[in-house]
Amino acid sequence: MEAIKKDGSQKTPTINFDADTGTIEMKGRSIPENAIEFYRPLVKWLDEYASVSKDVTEANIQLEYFNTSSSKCILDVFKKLEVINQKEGKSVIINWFYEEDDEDMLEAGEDYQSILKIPFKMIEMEE
Amino acid sequence: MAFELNKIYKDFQKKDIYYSYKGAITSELVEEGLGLIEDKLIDVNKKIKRKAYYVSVETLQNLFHHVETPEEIAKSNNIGERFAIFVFYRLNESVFVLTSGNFVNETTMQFLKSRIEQLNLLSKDEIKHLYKRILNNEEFSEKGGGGLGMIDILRKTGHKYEYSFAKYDENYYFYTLTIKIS
Repeated sequence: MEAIKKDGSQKTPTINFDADTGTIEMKGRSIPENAIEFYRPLVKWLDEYASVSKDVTEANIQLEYFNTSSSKCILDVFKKLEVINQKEGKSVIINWFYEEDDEDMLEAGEDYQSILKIPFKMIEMEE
Repeated sequence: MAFELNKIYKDFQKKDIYYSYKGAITSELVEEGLGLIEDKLIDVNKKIKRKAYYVSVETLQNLFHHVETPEEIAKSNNIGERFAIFVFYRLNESVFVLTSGNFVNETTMQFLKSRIEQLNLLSKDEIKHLYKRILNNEEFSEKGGGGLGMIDILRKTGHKYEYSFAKYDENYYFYTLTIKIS
């Protein structure tokens, strides 16, 4: 299936969802006024990916800021990954990157981790 | 009231302003405002900078989604539609203050008042719990996150909200919300 690649902007993250490698990446800022509109195609893509997913899917999430409108959409993305992770012979890992000393971003990742049944790896990035 | 409104705004101008705006809240304005705030924060401690930028995003977008100026007020005194004020200033070396203001009717005033008072009573743990509950359970609209923004601001800043409702006429109030960031 076709990958989704989007360059980041002042308000939206760089997106790279690749079914061939089983990698999904979101990097940068996610502060669009209407996050639902931005995330809708990504959630739809994951629905399709669920039926062709790799044995191991790796999600690399490296967000600098995200607004509350995005927070729910990011959870929706993770819930799709959770479904894949529950399938026989399939696994998903979420690598949650945060900048050194950014306790708020670490805590945001831990919130998602506590809501979802999916392995998270918290990765602090040194400057 | 127009006079008073100008006075509120002018009083702010005496402070160490990083960004201030008075007028219609549009998507372009939000983007421009955030860009200017970010530029001004360049030499500020990174932790405060992150929080300040985040609170600015939520506050400006909250205004963008919810601001409505009643027609009779918009037409009077050159106030205009989608009117709000937004002031972001530095109180001292380690404290920034952000104030937003917009018109609300009686019903909205009652709603906001009880909501803010409830939120201000919550402990740190209760705020975290509430945040996660709303994030996971409530439907969000295209206008935003079911009040999640206000909860997350409290959580990230650790300061209580300060607010006021100044009576404008028999139907409307000018609502100001102040948030400290340190």
